[in-house]
Amino acid sequence: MTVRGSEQRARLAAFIQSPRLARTIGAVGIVTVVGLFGITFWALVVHLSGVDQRLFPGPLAVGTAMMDLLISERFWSNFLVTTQEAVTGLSVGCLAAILVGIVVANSRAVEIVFMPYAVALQSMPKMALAPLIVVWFGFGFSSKVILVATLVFFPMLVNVIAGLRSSPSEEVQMLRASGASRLQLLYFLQFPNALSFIFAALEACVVLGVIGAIIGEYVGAEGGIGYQMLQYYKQFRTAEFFALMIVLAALGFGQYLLVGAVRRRVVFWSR
Amino acid sequence: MNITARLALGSKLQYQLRSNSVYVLAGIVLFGTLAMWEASVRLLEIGSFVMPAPSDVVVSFIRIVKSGELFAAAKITLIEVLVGFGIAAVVGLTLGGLVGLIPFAERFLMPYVVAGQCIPTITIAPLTLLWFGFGVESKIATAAMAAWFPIFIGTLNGFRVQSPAEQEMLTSFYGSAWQIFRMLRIPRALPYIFTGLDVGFVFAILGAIVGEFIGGSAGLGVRILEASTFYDIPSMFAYLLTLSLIGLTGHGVINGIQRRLLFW
Amino acid sequence: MLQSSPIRVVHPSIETSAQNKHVTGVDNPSVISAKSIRKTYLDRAGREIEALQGLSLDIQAGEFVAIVGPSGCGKTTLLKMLSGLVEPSSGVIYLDGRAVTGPSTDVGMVFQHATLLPWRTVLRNVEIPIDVQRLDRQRGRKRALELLDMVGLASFADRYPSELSGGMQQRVGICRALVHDPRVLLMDEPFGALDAMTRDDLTLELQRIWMESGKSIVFVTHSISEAVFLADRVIVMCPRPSRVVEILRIDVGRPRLLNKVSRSALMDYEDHIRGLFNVMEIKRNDS
Repeated sequence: MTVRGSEQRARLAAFIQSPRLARTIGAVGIVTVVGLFGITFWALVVHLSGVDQRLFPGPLAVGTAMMDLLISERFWSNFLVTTQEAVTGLSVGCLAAILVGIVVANSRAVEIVFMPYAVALQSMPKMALAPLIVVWFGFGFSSKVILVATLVFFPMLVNVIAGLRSSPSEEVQMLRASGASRLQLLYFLQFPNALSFIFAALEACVVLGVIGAIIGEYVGAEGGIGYQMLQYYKQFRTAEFFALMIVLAALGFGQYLLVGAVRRRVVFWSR
Repeated sequence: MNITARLALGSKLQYQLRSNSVYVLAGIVLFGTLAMWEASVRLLEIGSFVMPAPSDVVVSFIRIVKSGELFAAAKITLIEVLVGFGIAAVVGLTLGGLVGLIPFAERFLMPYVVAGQCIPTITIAPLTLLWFGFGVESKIATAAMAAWFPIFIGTLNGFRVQSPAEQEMLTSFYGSAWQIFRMLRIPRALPYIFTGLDVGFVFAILGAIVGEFIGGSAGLGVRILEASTFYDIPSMFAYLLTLSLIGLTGHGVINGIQRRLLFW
Repeated sequence: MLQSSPIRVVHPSIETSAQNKHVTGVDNPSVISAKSIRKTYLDRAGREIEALQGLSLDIQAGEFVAIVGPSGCGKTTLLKMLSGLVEPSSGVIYLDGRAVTGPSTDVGMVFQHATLLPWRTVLRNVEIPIDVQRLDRQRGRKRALELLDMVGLASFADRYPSELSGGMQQRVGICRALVHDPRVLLMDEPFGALDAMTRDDLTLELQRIWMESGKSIVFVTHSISEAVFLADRVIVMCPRPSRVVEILRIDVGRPRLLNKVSRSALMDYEDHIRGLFNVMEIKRNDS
């Protein structure tokens, strides 16, 4: 057995016997119990109030709807469409924010010119732009991407700028004194420091990606989960609608966890 | 820092305009940009259904103001936003207070709160039509459902703050739990609560607008959608501008109240 | 020629007999009476850790008692138990003849950090005990202003804590602890966070306040010179295990001053206490 292997086995053995395991099991247990309580309460409310399940479905209906969805091909192709829209939009918005952020953070002139607009545009609810974007870019993939990118751009921009500025001034001076150029300063110091801000903002923005994609599809689309949700709504298939919302939440949560995991590996030095 | 707090950080660009000269400069830049925009549209003969010139937007704006369309639509949307926000605030504050103050509630509910941040409540918009019809009520519902969560999280964070030294001080002077809550916990929670309210207001507007997109007969969102079917981009810009003004005003009011209340 | 009076040492009386649960007679002059106080707590692994070994002490009315010792000797724990913020694991504390079960209205506490509420003015901060205990507002305000005047902060009554220096904030804290006219003032290293000159200032001021008001003061500090300067009696504590080593009476007249004459009279006491700690150091190294 290799040194590494026996090390890992020892660690595993320690974990199993440790109070940490008990605590983790305890935590999982609590979550499950609370979850079961919630679902039971939901079921009771629905069945006792006798509400039409087409208006407000019970957990059973939603559960079965979910099962049916997961085996339907149409669902998965829609899922793929929406996920692509969200992820692409996130990437575009993020990239744009990084590029603009670098420029703004490094040039006082650009900052003074640009930032008042940014502040003013902040207060506009950007989802209201959806119809405009659909007019300009059509019903297809690109309009959703643009919408998501717009939604995500401003929060990311703020964080990029804050991150680029977060480098401790002593370190900046140290590098400058060693003759580093602007670009080197950026590469060696400012950007790595900014990364922790960027990833933190990204974690927050993944949900925006999902929302943007769906709203975009609500306004005008031919495919995607939002499109499917609209269909279900028109057909009074509320249980399926709920199931899709859960799927969306899972999509957002999954992305959040993914970004978090990547963040911990890439920006391993920050908490 | 949780998601909503980070979103709040993003949606509140804390840009401090340092002196009057910056305002003047910004004004000059604004004017210059508008001029360039106007010039390029005219010179390049870009159709107004692609990109309208500022003058077109202004013309449309004046037209919809004169015809009363703007105020009628704005009034409806404003009602939806304000009532929805009000409901969201009540629900969010109460639940946030309960979960934040009841000792174990948080431990039990935290994973669900975190997961809950990922549920896109705005997407429930179509269902509110089913439940409440096509009138104002469904938009109020959507606005409330979109806005309550940030307020809840803000309040929750506010009451999670513990200032043990201050609590001890009040206890030593014979302070009761209620007095500690009133005199200490609430003021300490307010900054976070206001952040939540700020974000919540934006979401309320979003909720109302999206609700109108999906199915409505009146309101700014409906007008925007209408204009889009006619490719009347200048009007769309005009309505969007109005929406921005509403957003700015709301933000300004909340911020203003915050600054007066939280002068320290 | 300076006369240094003999140092009289009073040994702590550790009672091994059963706890005396009954309140002692009316003619008990002690304003605070602690009997067989012990404090333990459970650490992470569930073991019982003794934070304070059994001790008993009596504080007379109008007395200034200092508790001095290094970090971890239990002095803050002891003070918190006297204030009712912390419950002793065994033993009873009597305040004015009544057993202490929680914070009391007859106690005013001063902390190391003034802990003024930033959203209240200086005056409103001083009035906190009045608000909390629902005392007469008019009289309370009058008293608050008098106290602020006494410490020279009358003109700052309507300012906010952020506008005050550390020393000034501590003065406000002292006013706050006095506004409801408590019999006892408990002070937990109140000058610890201040610079040396402000410390000197406030030490003299505290002596003046005490002499004028006649309150009983229990003053916790890790500064031997501060303790000896201010106190009628000094309780010396040491850690591991936390216990009282000695209680000594300071027989130097009042008011004591920060000049050479006064200080040399007190220096013998300081040396004696320092000697105690050196002995403890040597003891620790031996064991």
